[in-house]
Amino acid sequence: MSKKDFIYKTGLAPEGAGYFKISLFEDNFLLIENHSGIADMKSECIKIFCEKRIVGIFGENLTIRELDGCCLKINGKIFKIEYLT
Amino acid sequence: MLKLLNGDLYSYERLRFTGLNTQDILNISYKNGIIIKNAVRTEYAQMEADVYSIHVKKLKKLLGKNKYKISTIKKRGVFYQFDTNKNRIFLWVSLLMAFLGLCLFFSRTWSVKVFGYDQPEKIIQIVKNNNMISWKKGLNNKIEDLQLQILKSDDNILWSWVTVNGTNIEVYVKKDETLKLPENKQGNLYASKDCVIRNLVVLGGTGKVENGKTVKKGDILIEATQKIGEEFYPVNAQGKAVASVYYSSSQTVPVKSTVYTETGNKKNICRIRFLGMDILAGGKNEFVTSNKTEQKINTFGLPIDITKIIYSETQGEIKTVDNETLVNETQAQLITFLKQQMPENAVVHKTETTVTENDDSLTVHVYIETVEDVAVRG
Repeated sequence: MSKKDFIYKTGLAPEGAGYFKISLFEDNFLLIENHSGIADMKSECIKIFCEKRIVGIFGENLTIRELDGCCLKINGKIFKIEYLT
Repeated sequence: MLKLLNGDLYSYERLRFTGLNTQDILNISYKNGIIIKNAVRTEYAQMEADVYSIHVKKLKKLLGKNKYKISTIKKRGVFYQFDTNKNRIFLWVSLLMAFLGLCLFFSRTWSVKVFGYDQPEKIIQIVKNNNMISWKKGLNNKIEDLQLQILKSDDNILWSWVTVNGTNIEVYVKKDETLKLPENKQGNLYASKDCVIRNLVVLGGTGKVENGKTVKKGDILIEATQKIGEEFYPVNAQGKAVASVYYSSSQTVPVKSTVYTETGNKKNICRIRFLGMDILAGGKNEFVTSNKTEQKINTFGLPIDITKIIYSETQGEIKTVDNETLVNETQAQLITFLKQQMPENAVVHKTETTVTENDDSLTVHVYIETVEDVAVRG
């Protein structure tokens, strides 16, 4: 997916500020601090804007446990986390 | 404060969002300070998420511009409990009232239990006189005085212990018969009432009255001295004084009397005693003359006393009574009255009845002669 597609799909500019932090608790709980938006959400993959890049969370039965201005909590069986862009 | 309550007590709505870009909903909400929980994408163009109830209106307003379809799946939380329980308000109020009633019930004493004493009515009366059947507050201050009063009420009581146990006042009494003072066997024997001495039996001391003599109440019958030679020595006065005692009584009764008969009219009144209040339900007794009967209604141990009072109207009619019947009835009454004054060991020797007739009344005299022991120690 190109950058333009993301902007069109999400309504957000893929730009972050400063730093971001990813914390993984065992294999079923993930905490991302200072993210800048959700790019895509499915039960097997959640893509998140983090500091001008997109991070993909891959797993099974993924749900957004809590989403507020500063952090994002993801619940589900997590297989891998990787930069997509 | 409302925000805190609403957020912390988890009043939220489970919403279903339908739209092509479901992640856009998440971005819009978090950028506007709306907290989203448990978000799941159920279908390609459908997402479910929990949103706090105070944010729902704001979220709908924001998403409405972008033409998303939002529907509520369920509502949860304390605030919604009021809505769901709106129809059960009477149930909750009655439960609250029952709870308060129970609290009131257990915050005062209702009955007295006495252990280790053969006359519990006496102790219960002392407890009631001290206003112990009341609210529990301040009862502990009265307990020491009550224990002292119970101790003083009977010489045989060794110790007493009063405790408030639940709604009962429990009184534990220890009786000791050995505390009773031994009978005084010293002193003269006196006549207990006016009588004629028939037989004076002297077992110890000196007899002061001859047989056949009339004595008055308080006269010495047997003196506690014994003459040996020319000197008098103190001894225990012992003996019996069998004497004839006379009891008499009279009563004047009118020959014409009013006989009351029931007319059949009745009035039912219910008396309710609860928490010291006395409530009469059903009006007042308006009959001039009436008979009153009371029936207690079983309240299954509840602290409420319900009594049904039935007033039956009566009508008076003046009738002339047969003399013989009147004399017999009056005589029986007088004999019963006189027998109550006699001691248990008295033997009735003679009974006489005389009747004096007046213009409109009869005077009945009853005269009873008994044989009994009249010697008592002074």
